[in-house]
Amino acid sequence: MRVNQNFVLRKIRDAYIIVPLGEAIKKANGIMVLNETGAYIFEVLQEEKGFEELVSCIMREYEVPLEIAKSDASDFLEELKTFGILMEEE
Amino acid sequence: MHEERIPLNGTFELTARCNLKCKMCLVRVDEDTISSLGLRELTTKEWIDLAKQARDCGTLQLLLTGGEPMLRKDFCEIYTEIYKMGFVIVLYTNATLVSDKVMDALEKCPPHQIGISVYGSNPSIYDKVCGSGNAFYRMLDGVKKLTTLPSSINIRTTIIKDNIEDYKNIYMLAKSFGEDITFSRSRIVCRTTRHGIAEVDACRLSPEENIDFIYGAYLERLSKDLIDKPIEIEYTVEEKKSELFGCDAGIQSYTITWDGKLIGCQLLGEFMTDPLTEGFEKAWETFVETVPELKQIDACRDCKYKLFCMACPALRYCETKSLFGNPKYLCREAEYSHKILEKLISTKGSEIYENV
Ligand code: SF4
Ligand code: SF4
Repeated sequence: MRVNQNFVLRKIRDAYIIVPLGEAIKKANGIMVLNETGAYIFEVLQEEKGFEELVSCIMREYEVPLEIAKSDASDFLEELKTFGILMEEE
Repeated sequence: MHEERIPLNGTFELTARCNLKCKMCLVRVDEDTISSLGLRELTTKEWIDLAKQARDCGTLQLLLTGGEPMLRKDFCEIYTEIYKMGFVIVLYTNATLVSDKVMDALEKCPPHQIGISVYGSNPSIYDKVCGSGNAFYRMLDGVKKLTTLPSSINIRTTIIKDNIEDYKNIYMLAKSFGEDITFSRSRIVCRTTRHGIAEVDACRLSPEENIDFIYGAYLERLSKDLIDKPIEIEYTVEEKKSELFGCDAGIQSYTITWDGKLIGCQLLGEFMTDPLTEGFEKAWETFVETVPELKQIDACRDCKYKLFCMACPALRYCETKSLFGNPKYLCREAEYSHKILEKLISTKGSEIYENV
């Protein structure tokens, strides 16, 4: 999975904001504000990654145990899916 | 002071020129005037560079306007490059120059919002207001194309003496463009700013006509509420916070003029910095230093129409060329609003009395 390239991450002061572009403007219908972990995951998913890979990135970056990294990741991925931001391989 | 300043909302006036000649245009300057003033519009590269710098300084929403931006030969190039930088893009246009090439660019990079100005419901009104009857058909064609985009569309109109009779038709026309389309009209027609060449005084509604037009229905409702449930009208207004202009201008928003200056809002024509030579960041930072501190204006101190007064520093500037001038047009509007509200209350009051 990876993020749809029609979404651009902007850092404005301390805020992380996702701006939809192109065809995505209709579906996303507005901007989305992320927290720091969200922004990190968004960056990591600029390249194709599997779920396990993503989780280990989070564990390394934030020094959190497996369970926390897993639940953070899956919550956030759900959110990305709702907005059409996540692209999964068929 | 001003610690919270951040240039979140930008406006780029990509050009001062327009293919139409609307009688009430705030901005339009023609090519001859531009060169006789020794000024010039920015180049392709300058706009793209400024946009990059603005993005790096925190601009999130960017309005691209003019004049008519599509008149620039390099519109598609500037537009596409800026779009890719990740702004929330709003594009203002009169929709009469939507060529296939422009549509190609907009299809690849649809703006988040398009504001389309529509000034009449037929060629003869377009001829009177914009100096071209044919422009009406070109606008219709442009709207047809633009409404195929996933962008949200806002039809914007401005009412002057020449199209006030046509207002309802303009509204109906706008609604006929599609269900999701929003409609707005400008609150006031100001005198031109900077080097604008339109002769606004000759065509705008009188202050009294304008209030009737904008607030007529609203004031009537208000007066009814007052009768049903009398309240004390207090003729005092809280003094606005005196930071810069008392609004977002220069605090969270800015305009880059067609000749490349950074100003607080499009209505202003002084108090500017020069992002082309100093860079955007420095121009934004030092902007505050160019604005004089706002002070209480003598003529306004005991004004009994204050409650209805719409004047802000930029409107004062536009009308009088001074931040501290007395904008007669707005004073007359305020006086008139006060008068009709009083009149409405007293006639309603006596009607009720007679019915008892
Ligand atoms: S109001 Fe708009 S369409 Fe009319 S002349 Fe000015 S820029 Fe052109
Ligand atoms: S109506 Fe005129 S005099 Fe009164 S407060 Fe407004 S600008 Fe000042």
